[in-house]
Amino acid sequence: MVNDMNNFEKFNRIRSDADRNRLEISNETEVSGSNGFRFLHILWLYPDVLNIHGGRGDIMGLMHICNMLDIPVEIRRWDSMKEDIPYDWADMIYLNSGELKCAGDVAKAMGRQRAQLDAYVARGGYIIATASSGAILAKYTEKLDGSVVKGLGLLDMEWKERASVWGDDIWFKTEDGQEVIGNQIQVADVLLHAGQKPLGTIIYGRGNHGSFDEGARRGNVIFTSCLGPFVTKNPKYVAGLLADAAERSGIKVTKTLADDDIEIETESAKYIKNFMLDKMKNK
Amino acid sequence: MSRIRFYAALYISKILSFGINLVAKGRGTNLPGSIAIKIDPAFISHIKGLDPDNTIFVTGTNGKSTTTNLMAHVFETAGIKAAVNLAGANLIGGAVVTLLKNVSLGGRLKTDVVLLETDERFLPIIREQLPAKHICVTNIQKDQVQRNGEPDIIWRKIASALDDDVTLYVNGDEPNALSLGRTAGKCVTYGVDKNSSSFDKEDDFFSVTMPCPVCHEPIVFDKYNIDNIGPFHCPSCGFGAAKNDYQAYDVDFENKTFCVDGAAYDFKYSTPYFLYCYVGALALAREFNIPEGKISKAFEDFVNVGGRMEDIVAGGKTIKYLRMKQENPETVQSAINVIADDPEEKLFLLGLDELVDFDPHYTNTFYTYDCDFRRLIASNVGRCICFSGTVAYDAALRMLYDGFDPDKLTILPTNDDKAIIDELAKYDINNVYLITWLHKFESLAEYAKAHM
Repeated sequence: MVNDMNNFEKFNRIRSDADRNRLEISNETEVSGSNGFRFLHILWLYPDVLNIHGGRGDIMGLMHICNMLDIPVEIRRWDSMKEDIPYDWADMIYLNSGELKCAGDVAKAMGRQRAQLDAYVARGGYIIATASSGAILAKYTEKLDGSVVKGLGLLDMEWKERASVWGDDIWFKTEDGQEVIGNQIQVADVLLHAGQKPLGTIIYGRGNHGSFDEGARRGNVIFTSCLGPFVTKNPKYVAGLLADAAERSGIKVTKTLADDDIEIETESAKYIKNFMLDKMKNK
Repeated sequence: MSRIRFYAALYISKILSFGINLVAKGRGTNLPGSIAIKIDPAFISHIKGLDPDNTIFVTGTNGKSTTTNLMAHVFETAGIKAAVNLAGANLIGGAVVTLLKNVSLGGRLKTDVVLLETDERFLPIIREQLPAKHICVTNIQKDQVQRNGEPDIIWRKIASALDDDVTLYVNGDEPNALSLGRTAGKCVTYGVDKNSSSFDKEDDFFSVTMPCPVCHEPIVFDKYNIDNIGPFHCPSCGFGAAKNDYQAYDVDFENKTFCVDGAAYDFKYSTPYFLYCYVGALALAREFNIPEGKISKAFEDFVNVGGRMEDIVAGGKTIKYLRMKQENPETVQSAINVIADDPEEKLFLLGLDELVDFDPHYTNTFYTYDCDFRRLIASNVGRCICFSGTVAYDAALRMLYDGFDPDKLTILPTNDDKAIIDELAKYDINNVYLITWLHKFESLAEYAKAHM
């Protein structure tokens, strides 16, 4: 049984103080570790447009994990695709899973300031996209009707819309040996071009196109098909990304996640992994 | 030759249907139809007397069964004979079975109208055989993502079945459904004014709406009547600003009345979900020129097949069941809202589960992050029990993210009915609500009945 479920108090105090009219929230009142440096800046891009598969849970998870790591963080919503994106401000840009139909428009909006976007990526700024929003980072997506939608080309991959949807659990190991679990709802096959590294290697599931590859990563530009939400299900892995983004921004991160902090997520993972192991046995 | 095939299909399927009904009443709702089509692929088009002008399909993510049942009752009350698939057999086989039951041995339709609840994914296939000229789309929302993926995939399927011959009836308060209007010859819209059950999401930084189906910029809901359904507009392109053709106003849930165009109607099922079904049926009924008195009489005495809220008596407690469809956040949110409206101290049983509808089975609980449990949590929940063989911890995590007191949270990682009922009996709270999927409810109900 889980003993320590009380560490959500900070998150919920922050949440209850911030209504929808606020475009930015921070954990200033809840962390002790501002260390005189600035806050980690997370840009939540187009939350209303990229709105499926419980993606907003990822952003809740980012705030919660920052609280546990004592990382001072500000999360800013960026709602309209017509407004210029504050690339100079951001340390991490998060693209929740959205419908494939929106990928082209989002890519256009992000690419309008191409020079700033490229500079952001070059300085190691994080961009994380989940599920169909990965198409925003791809070179292009070929739709079922034969049309081709251009992406940003930040990851060297192409997408091909599938005639049928594939939904299943997913379990993969990243290059640094961390295990990530969740679900996958795949509406397009993902084909990595030569030289483009995947994010991880499949233990269970379909991944990019039924091979052993899952996701893609180049520098700090990351695509994963993992849902769950990805962040709430995989706090340990995401904590590593957040700590790195914070260090790059000059924020000293002194804490790591204790086992107690993520006991409920760890217990959940045990059950889910066993479920997948059973499926592997019965295949 | 084609007539021989048709009659062979008709007689074999009628005999099969009769046989199945003798052996297992209510079973085999699709099989005889599938066989009829196998024998005569153009079976439907060979039926004499089928009139597309008097054929209605009701499709959409949520509410299609209730809207169909309600409309069937309106026809019945008005003395109009309708062929209806009330049992919810909404694939091509089910549609054929419905027609089989209403076709004479001479192959002629015996009813005035055909009213079919139609699975949204199969609408193009069914309409290819039966070119109905009236199609009602209740809404297009997140649902069964393992096969539907994204709402736009369903939007495209429905759109591909529409043409200039179609009069489309759409929920004008649901952006995806409304945007189908431009793909049909005529579009009739219906909606509901904001009312005492309406809500907003202004209290949460994390609340999200949806992309405008026309320009993909964010939609703004002036109020939500159901999650992602309500008066809305797109500030960017103006989509959604037009008035609905049939608009319910003066909605009074306490006295169970609403008005449309100056006429008052009684309605038995006083939840916002049902209200949309009533107004949708009203739009159809008015367009079919059914007299006002018949419509209001039908609304007054309509009894839905399988209500949404049912009870289990177990461990000395009455458990109020709220049905939800897994992977369908709108139905979960509607269930949450009903519980949240009860201010009394309550015990809340949450039974999410692995998904077993299709292969491979999997452990999706992410759709619950599209829901908001905070109003339920604030409504005096003395204890919450999250049970499931696989995803009990995920459900508990969801509750914690919405601020539930961990001291009042029990995680029960099992699906065992006895264990769930035994755990429930430990707490001295008699006001009990259960949200789970239908199969788990049935299993718990069966256990409770056997151990009364």
